[in-house]
Amino acid sequence: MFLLPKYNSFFIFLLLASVIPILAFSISKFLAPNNTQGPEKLTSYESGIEPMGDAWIQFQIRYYMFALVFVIFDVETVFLYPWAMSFNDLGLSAFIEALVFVFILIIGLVYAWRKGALEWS
Amino acid sequence: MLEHILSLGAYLFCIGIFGLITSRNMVRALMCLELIFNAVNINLITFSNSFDTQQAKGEIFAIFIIAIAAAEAAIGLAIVLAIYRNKNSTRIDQFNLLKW
Amino acid sequence: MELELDLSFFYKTTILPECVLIFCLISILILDLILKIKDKNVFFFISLVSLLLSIFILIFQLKEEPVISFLGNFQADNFNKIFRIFIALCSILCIPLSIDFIKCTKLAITEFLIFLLTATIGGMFLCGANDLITIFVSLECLSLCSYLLSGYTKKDVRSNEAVMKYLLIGGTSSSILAYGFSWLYGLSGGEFQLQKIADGLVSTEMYNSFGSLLALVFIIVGIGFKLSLVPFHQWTPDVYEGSPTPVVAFLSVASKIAGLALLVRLFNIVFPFLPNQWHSLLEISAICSMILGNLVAITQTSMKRMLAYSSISQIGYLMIGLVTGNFDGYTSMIVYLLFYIFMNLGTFACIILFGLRTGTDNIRDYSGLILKDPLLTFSLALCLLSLGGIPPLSGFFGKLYLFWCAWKTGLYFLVFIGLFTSVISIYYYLKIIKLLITTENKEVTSYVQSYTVSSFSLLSKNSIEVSIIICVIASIFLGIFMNPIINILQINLHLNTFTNI
Repeated sequence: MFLLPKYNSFFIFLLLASVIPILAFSISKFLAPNNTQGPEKLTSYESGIEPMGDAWIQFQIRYYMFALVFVIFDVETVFLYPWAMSFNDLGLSAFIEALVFVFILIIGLVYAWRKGALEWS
Repeated sequence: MLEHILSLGAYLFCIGIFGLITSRNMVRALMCLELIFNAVNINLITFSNSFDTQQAKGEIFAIFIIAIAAAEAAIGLAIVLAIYRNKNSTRIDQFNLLKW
Repeated sequence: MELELDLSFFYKTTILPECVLIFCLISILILDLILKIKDKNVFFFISLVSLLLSIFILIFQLKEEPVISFLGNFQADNFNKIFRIFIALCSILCIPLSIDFIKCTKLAITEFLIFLLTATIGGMFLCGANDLITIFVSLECLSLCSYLLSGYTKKDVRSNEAVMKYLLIGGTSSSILAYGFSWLYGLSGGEFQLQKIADGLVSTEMYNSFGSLLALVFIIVGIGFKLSLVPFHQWTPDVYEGSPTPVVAFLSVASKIAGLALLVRLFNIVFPFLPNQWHSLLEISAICSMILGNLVAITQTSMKRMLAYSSISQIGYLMIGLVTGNFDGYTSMIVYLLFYIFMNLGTFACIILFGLRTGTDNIRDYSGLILKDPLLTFSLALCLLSLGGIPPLSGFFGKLYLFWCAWKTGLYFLVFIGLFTSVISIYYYLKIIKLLITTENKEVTSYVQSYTVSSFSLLSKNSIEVSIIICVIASIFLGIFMNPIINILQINLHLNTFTNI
């Protein structure tokens, strides 16, 4: 375990961090009274009112449309960060190239919008 | 140090391949695919950290792989949606129309 | 950190053909968004014109010296340019095939064209890519568009299944390839350009180690899935059977061309010191492809599935040229590739036409077609015979040249297997032709009886027929003009960097 001397503190931290939740669960199990087994013990807690339905629900299919569009445009911005960080070194040509990149992304966004992918219907 | 991280990458790669072979659900298979891409990213960043600190080309490659893996996951999810609309299921083993 | 990005503007002419296509792509998208055009034929016209333009630009650029542009990310030599011309040619021949198919199935036209053009652009960049990032990105550009195309009929359960298999296996193969690339990057001490990787492998003295062998195996597995070489071919028949037929026609040629270009460049530039290892690995897979592809094709009942196995065997023949490994070998591979484009696309065009008019692709439903449409029968028979390699047709000359080049280099076993499996392939092609020309009335199926023939004139509006005529004429007569083709190729190729090993 201590093969990597630089990481000793990390491993000790990891050990402590994994012990704490185990301790928390075992202490509560140890201290809790054992005789209150009702049907309501296993229901999910919904702010004190009667729970409606199961906790595992299937999400509506419309969420996925937004999720798909979001994933694409979210991840493509990863290319803009390195460019923004070294904006002063790169000069005009990189600026034009980034503009072309953003232009193509905007075309994609307009396409998704015109085809109705962004409408909640 | 290097060999530890490389073996972590190889381990992740093996988990991904194993999951792809055994998983019955399409979404889970896509997650295993992402795992393999992450193994590649770990490898690239390790090598870039050890040999190529000047230009950091490995990290650039990793960014490209992240973007492409996201595109692939989006396409995969779109296909899952289309399949789910037709068959009400995303289980891989229920698809056996095409065989000889 | 020294950055020379301003230089890249001087190199724009090297990717001018691709830029034309990208411009066309974006303009199609914008036109479709802004204008409500009812007649979508304009888009076909725009894309055909831009593809023709990019082919002309490439042909004029063949005279130029090879350059490495974009800080070493893109190489434009004649070998790449020939492959890029081939990919654009496939696209030109495939677009007419898909017009009527899309109109009959009432799918969206704009998206289909965009996916097809993006796949073409990806393939063309892949042929010239000179570093690992460009290779990976353009390969994914090609394959992501192929997944979308093969799942294009999204109401069809078979198409869904095909695209599911294709996505999972394609994704696995590209991730395996990327893992191999990451090893190459590490072993060469942090280099990305292909030539520098080779130098880096020598300077870190890793070129003969276990690690570089591992990277080689990973890369062969990754590209083998894309090319459907035999141990990695299981997805091919399923995807070919389930996907829409025009898409299959495009995939069966374009992805093979791009994959072959990648294979040749990557192995010749990066692994020049491990020639025995990769030659023997590829030789084994070529032998397996030829034997298994041809043997399994005999038992198939679906036409598209039969053509899938036939294409597996054809990639085995193309591998012979690669394994030969000298100048003649590569020339013969390119010549056979050219013939293969026309033969294969001709066959697929006939199948698309028959499928559109009858709605089936079972082999036994084709029986007695000659009574209804002799011209279609004639063209299908000629394309199949050319694929099999019957003497006066161009497939025969292509195979002959390929086998002769391999024989001269001493690959007797490979040539023997190739000859033997060609005979098997002629058997099952002839079986189909025998079905086609049966004239006994009781064997004519209901599908053929419901077949409605249109007037087969040159001025007719049916674009599939134009494509069929071009492909059939090319697959008959190109073989006769083989010597000028070889001469042109050899003159253009000798400037090349790696084929003069």
